[in-house]
Amino acid sequence: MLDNLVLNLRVAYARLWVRVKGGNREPEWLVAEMFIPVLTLSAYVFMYRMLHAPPEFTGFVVIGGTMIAFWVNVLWNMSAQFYWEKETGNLEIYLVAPISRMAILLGMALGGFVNTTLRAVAILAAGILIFQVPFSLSEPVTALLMFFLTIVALYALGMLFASLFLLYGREAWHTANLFQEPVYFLSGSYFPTSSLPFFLQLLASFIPLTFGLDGIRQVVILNKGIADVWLNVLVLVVFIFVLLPLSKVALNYMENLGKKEGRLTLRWQ
Amino acid sequence: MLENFVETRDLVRTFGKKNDVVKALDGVSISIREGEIFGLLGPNGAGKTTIIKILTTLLLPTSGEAYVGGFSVVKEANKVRNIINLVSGGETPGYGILTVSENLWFFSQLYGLPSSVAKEKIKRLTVDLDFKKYATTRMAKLSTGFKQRMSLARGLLNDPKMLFLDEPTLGLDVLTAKRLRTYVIDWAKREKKGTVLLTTHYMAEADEMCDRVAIINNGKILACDSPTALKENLKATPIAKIDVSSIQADFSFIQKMRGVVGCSETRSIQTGVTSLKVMAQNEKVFSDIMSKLNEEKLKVLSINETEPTLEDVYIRLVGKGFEQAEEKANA
Amino acid sequence: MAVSTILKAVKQAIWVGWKVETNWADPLVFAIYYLIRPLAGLLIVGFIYLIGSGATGVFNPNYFAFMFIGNSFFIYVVQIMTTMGMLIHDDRSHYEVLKHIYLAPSSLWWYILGRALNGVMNASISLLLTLGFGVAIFQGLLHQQIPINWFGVNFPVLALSLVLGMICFVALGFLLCGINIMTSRVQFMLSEYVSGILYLFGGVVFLPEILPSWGQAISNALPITYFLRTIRFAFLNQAGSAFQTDLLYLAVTTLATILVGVGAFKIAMYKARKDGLIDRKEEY
Repeated sequence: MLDNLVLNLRVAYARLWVRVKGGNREPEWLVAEMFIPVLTLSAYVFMYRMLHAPPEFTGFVVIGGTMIAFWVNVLWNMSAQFYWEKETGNLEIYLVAPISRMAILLGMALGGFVNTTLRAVAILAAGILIFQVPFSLSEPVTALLMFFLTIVALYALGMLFASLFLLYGREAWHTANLFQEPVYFLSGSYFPTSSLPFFLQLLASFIPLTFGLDGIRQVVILNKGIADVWLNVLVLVVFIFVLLPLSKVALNYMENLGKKEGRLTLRWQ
Repeated sequence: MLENFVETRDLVRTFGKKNDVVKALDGVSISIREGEIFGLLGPNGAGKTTIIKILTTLLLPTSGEAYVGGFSVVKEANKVRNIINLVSGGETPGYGILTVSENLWFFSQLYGLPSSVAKEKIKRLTVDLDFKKYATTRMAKLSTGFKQRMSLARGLLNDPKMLFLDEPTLGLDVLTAKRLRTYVIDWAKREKKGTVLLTTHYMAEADEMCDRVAIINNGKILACDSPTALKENLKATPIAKIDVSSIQADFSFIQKMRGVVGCSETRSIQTGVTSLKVMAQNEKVFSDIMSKLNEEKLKVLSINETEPTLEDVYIRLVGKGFEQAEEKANA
Repeated sequence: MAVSTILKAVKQAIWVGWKVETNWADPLVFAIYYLIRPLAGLLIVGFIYLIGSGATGVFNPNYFAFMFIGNSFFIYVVQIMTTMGMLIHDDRSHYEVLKHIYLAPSSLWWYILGRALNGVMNASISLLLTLGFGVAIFQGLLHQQIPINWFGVNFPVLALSLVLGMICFVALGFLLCGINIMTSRVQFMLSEYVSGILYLFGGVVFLPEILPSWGQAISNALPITYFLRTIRFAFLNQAGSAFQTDLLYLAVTTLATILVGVGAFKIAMYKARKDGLIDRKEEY
């Protein structure tokens, strides 16, 4: 069992290394990662300014834009990566090797995390320097805890999605596309979800990002503490404990189904 | 030591549903001895890649059993993966943005090789396969031949006990293909490092490399023996090569003539000559063919008896050459 | 080249673009896909308006209509940029058909134009669905007044604006194709760059006047600014609006975009042939 663990950690490291190495060889990706999200985010900030909304709304947008960067990383640098690997013929090599699929996904996620962190830092920097968002760091540990739990929950969800790409091609690709703007909307990336109608709030509660964003905003913008966000912490922990094993089950199931139907390494689906 | 390192029993694989079912494998039973280079020879669509996919745990059989190294490919997939590797021709997996060495290091990690060990192996493999000078070149910039060498190097990194080669020389130039074949033969037979299952539709390749060859068509194994034995079985069957100075004529009447076992044709636009390879029950049949060709006012340039080749074995079994079999399958 | 050949090439390109975009799903799923993302985008800005206004207690339905129309018609930019931004990568590296299209008697230009027109078609479907559902949600469910007389739309102005706008965005798309022929390093991000810049500076969801002066200068140079102004005029029929001037500026900026886009693509194709890039396979 220890040998297996060491092997899979090696695999995760190797895949992370590929992602980081590739990223370093194409610095224009980093520039795009930092610059592009600031454009859309700025548009929403200007909207709030046009409405003369209180300054904390600008903070909501900036925090939302920051966390969205991680969600996008989960979707495209992890979940959908199996699609690219399939199209380039690498997936076959992974599947023939005696390794855990989750190890590959973990490596992809961690590798993408490096670039995404840069993106997030750029957004935060824009928020502070250009838009003068009033951030509060009176409880940095709580803020970090919220951030960490949100990231883990998001990546667990991403692993669940990745299983779709083992079986499907373009359907999964388009499904991943569908999880961008609708998730931004439902999770309240640019406004507090408390203003949404009840049934939408209910829908939003199935997305870990909703609780993560709300918790981080409360701590970092509204100066709240752990006593105010304990429920967010609890919900995120539950998400993690449910999603991680579920994603393992889903990966195994989809792989077997793909092998049964002969679609596991089928390109151009 | 296992008697048979690879064994399949009545392997069936179908694709599709309801009224649109394709039977890619129809009761395939083969066994490969440890240390052997075993060939699967057949036209496109015969089922070769399907067998490889099942044995490498990429595909489940519809029914039947398959074992690699004594492990079931269905129930003990992870144990199978520990002892195999796969090299496919026609595609070269890897990351174009990384160099050859970086790609090989990455793939070595999928098998848990410590970095120092991996680097030594990579160094040795790039020398043995003669692409050391490209070790620091990005994979995207390599030619097809060197990408395939890299692919083979990747397939050998984990010292597999069972190496699956799926049309490994597809699309390669003659010298590169020869180089790869020689390397594999050395690896399996001289260094005795592992067993090989090779799929190919190049007769000469199967003839050169394989201890035994199974000829497969339409998902069924038609024959399985050493190339020499397969050809030996045909010694009693007269085979003649007839060159006719026409590339437009329809030669299908030959197949229908009494006593003709099989016939394949190769038309050369450059020379304007069609070479017919005819297998007959007896030598008198050739005279009948010559008479018929004369009747059709087709000029015969030469007629020679030839030694049987693997293609002749195939024609004997199927009644037509590879190209004609593929055309029929595609029609 | 005969007109019939050109029309055939364009028609076939529209067809293949349609197939590539749609044959992964049945029509209902496809319609849902083409509705959900733009509708979600509209809902985001709609709720920013509702919540932002709610925080101050000041609601401005005219601004809501301004933003509603701007965000909805921006679908054309997103769809065309995405289609043309990924076209070269998809056809060259993924499907490996670009060189065969290039070698065919009907030119690559008409093929790309056809694929762009397919993008326009898909965007039009999205737009109609988004407008319909947007009105149903905001006006019907949330009782947000949208001061648009849907039966009083100025169709001639709308049609003219759309035609000029589509020509402009397609020309911009040719610029993207030209860049992507030359280098694959920015292919996945180029359309996002362009869409992002146009979204921020094009007066899509807020008046460009609240941008800093340098931002306003950029806005005044962009065709999207005038496109949306003329579209808004067609829907909102604002009296005294200098729509003729906006239409003229739209025509001028469109012409400039055509010169830049088409010129860049022409140069790129020459260089591509010279440097052997037409069938270059990228390992991304």
